[in-house]
Amino acid sequence: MSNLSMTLPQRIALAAFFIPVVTIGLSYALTVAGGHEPLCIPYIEGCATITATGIYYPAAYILRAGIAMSAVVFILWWYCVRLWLESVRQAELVAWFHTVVWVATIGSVLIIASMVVLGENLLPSRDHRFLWRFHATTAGLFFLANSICQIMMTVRMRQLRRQMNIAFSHIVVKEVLALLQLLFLTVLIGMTIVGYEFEGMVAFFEWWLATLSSLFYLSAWWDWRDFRLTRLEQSA
Amino acid sequence: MTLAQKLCVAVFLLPQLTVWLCLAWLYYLNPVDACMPYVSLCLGYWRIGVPDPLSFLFRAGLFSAVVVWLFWWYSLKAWLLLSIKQPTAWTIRHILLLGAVACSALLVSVALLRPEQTHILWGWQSAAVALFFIGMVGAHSRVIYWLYRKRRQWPGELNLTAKLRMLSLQWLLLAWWLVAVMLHSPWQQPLEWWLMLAVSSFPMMFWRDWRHFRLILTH
Repeated sequence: MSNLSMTLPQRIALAAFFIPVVTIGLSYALTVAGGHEPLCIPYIEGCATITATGIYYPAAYILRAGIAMSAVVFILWWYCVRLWLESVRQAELVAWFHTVVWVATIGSVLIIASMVVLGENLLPSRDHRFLWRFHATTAGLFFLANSICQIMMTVRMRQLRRQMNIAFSHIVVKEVLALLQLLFLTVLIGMTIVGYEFEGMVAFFEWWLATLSSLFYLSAWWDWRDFRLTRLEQSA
Repeated sequence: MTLAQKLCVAVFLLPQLTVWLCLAWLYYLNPVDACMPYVSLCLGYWRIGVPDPLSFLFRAGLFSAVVVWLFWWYSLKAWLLLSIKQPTAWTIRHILLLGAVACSALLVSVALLRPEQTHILWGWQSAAVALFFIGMVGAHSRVIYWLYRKRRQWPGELNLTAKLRMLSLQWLLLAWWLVAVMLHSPWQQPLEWWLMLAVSSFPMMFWRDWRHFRLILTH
């Protein structure tokens, strides 16, 4: 049973990290190769938004498909979270787990909706204001719902640390990732509300939020070494 | 309903509901174009994913269906390994690989659709569709053949008759569709709809078998 050395939840955690990261990287590379965006470090320079990598073909094919698939993997990841946290068998927490997973699922559905509208059909942007607003709103709500759910999960993990035998370092990593997301999101929303903008602001925050969120999904890989979904995996 | 059963239902409902909703939307936007694509030569299955805003819904539904389908194949693998005490790992991996290749082909065939019809790479798209249908029917055949060979060792009740009928129907539709494609016949359009319905109905055949199969320990 060597093929079962990694558990199904661990595979889901890896997929939830690698599918979006590889997708965004690949679509950015194709967009740069097509001459539509400059070659730069968007994490520092804020030179290209993730959205911009999904406008021109063939990059749009990859970004749309990759992120929509990632969103379904995120839903499965949250499903695993629910089962994992429910394994402590505290009846009073069940409703809480269900609520968090539902909010995260709705967030994932929103990112699918946000991605499927991308393509050259959005050009010129002044003629497609509704679709651009739809994309921006759904993507923003996804990041908001996702980071809130990840923070809530971290808080609950800290509370259940002893019962679930979770390593302290694993919780600290998650807390840092979740708090950084909250910080970036708060600054972005705050700056948008007060009308303060700098060049490449949205791109800068978008890349960081996407990366931090993906890293959070990956962080579950270490927690789920002994968490089995199937009976077969348990017996293996 | 167990998680494995939910996957069976989702694999059937996601692609079907998506295209039915797209059809309803299309008829709402253009009542003149209203037709029944299962019985008339009016609209190909993949053509519905071309114009905006229908393509948004089409992409969302079918991209999601690809991932759910992949997990259905994973569940099938777990079920086959659980049910037979001496698993033939190679055979099961081979089935899973074939299913995954077919799902990837579906992903490519949907991803290539875009509203600017003249820019669609129809050659690649058609090749991906053919690979998806052939791969899926091939993988289903491999599963049924494997179950048929193991039927005497099978621990519980195993209803193969309905699955065999469904598989025969799939082969019939696939052969007919391939001939229609080679002859550039317009009949390939309704056949695509029927073939998609037959292929996505196959997982539902396991709904009953999986009523005692628990993919999740806590169930």
